[in-house]
Amino acid sequence: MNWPLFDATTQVLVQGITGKEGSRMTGWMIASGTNVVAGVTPGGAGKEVEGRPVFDTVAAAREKFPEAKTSCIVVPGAHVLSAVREGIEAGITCFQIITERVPVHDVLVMRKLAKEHGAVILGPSSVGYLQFPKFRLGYLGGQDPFATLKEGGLAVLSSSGGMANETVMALGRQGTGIRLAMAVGGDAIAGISLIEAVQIADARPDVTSIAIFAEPGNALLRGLINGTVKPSKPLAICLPGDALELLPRGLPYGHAGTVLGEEDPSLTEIRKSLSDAGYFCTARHDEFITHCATL
Amino acid sequence: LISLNKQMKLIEADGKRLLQEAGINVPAGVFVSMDGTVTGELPVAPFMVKSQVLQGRRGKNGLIVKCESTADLQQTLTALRDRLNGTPCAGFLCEPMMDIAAEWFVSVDVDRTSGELRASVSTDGGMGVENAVAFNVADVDARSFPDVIKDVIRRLSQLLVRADATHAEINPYAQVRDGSFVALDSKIELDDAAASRHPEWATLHALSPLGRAPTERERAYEQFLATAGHRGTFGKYLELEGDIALILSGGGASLLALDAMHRAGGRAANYLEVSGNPDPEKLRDAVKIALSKPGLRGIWMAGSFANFTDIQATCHAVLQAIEEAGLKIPVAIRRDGPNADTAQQETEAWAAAHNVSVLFHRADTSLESSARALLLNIV
Repeated sequence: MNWPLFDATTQVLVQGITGKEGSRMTGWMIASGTNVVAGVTPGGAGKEVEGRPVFDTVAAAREKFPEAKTSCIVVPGAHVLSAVREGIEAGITCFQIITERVPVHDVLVMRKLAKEHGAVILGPSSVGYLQFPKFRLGYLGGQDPFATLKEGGLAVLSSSGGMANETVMALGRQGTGIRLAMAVGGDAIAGISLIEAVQIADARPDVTSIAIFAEPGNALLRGLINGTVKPSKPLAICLPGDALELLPRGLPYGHAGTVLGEEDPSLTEIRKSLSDAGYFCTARHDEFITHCATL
Repeated sequence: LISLNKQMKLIEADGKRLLQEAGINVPAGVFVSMDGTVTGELPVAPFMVKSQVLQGRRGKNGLIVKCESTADLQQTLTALRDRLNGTPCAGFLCEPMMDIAAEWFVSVDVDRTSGELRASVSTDGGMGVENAVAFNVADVDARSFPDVIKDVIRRLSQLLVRADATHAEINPYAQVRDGSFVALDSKIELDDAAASRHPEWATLHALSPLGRAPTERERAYEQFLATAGHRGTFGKYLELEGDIALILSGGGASLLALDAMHRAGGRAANYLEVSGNPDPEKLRDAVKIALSKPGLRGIWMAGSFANFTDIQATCHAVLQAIEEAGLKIPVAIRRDGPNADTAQQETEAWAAAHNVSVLFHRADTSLESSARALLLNIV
């Protein structure tokens, strides 16, 4: 899976730029150093958002900015698939989709399209991606992430957008440096799964260790336990969910993909299996953060 | 919308309607409502009466019984209603007896590891998925199953895509003595995120997945969800047995917070999760439902360091709900993110003005510490 190496010169488009979230997100991205060059909203041609021109179509935006091959999508759930299709047809090769509640069958179609065209999709329900050298897509890190973050070798991967931010901010306060943070989204099926995110981080020479926030039901857990996913770098996992024992099983909690099946082992057993497989695993986020300093 | 707390499991009768629309043979069943109203011509006696609950093992639990004659039906229903003992049930499905030669297990679902449709097949119908062979539905032609099984896999795959279902299972898919096949049971789960493009889902039965009737507040929250609109993500509200009201934000942080409260020795009165910069008025309404539970001893608003949720607006909405509920019990707020400074100042001023004990914790206080601090404030 080909996740690009970004830097301050990477040109980025925003599909859905004139919406409330689209325009706010664009402003925050620009303020943190991302080179957003244009936006797309059907019928929005001629407008400007944060000083950036708006086009009716991705094709029109790319005609003016042929180097822009990365797009952030902030459109309503029912329109996400057509936005991705339009982007792929116009030559976009990397998407970050912030929209939540995209139908799972639309995600399956997107994954197929992306595979056929050599594109890569972070999300849906991905709050974003950030990295050193300073660059980010989406909202990850809030208003001014680089004021707190320290540069280092850790890759932070999370199925939860809020916990991705909680984790990078806590690491920043602790003085632990990170290389990148990626929120893959908590849906049952994502463009980049947590397993694929681990593979991306493991393959990058500038990443020295991996810190993961995962939730019960994620396929990564089984992969790490049965050895089908076997990263070469030190890896720590925060896996909450003991309190799910108080709730009916087989239902999603928090995220659509967070389900403890009726036949699944308990969280204590899952954590023990992960430890036995050689990974640091804890239910407590504060312990997880402390451990990350030692990776 | 049939969504009950976002769960979209269908009862057998509704599932069989979808199977039939997909061209899969199902028994000629007749639906009987809970009060015994028969909606068609009953099968020739003796016939089977099947309780339409979401729980498995219906046969073992005595929720599927044989009715010897049409005259016995109402008596049979009375016995079944007694046996249900509060388990949510949509009605009863009456189906003819079948002379079965063989039983298969067939299902198609969305495989989370591969991100593709996966079929599972076993010749041990009646048993669970654990005995089944699983493979990508795209490879069905290459498999050595009988054509009738390959055909039903293709039809189930089409059903998944067309109906926005995530799981469709027939167990057993039975071969009758005359050689034909029929779906004797169905388990179908729909994708709640696709509800807006399926107005026909309004005709499906809604059942609580909890194995008990929804409480008054769970029903009120269900009503609320129907009007909540699209801004923010209003998740589940479930009533639990404790006395600390929880207002949780962020899917991942909700789990951590619930864990942390229980590790600290507190017992949650509810699970309520609201994320993604919700509309403040809607948030206030949702919180008021949670705060209407009698006997609360504390309130904990807990979440992750927000990326984009306006912390000032959400705290303001929660304080308003507390004020309108007239509660003076200890409160702890553990939130950080956009506008958190203003949120903290306003909250502290509100606490002083209303003489309510409110702790305001930022991201440098862990969820564990915040939970413990709240419990220490409760006498």
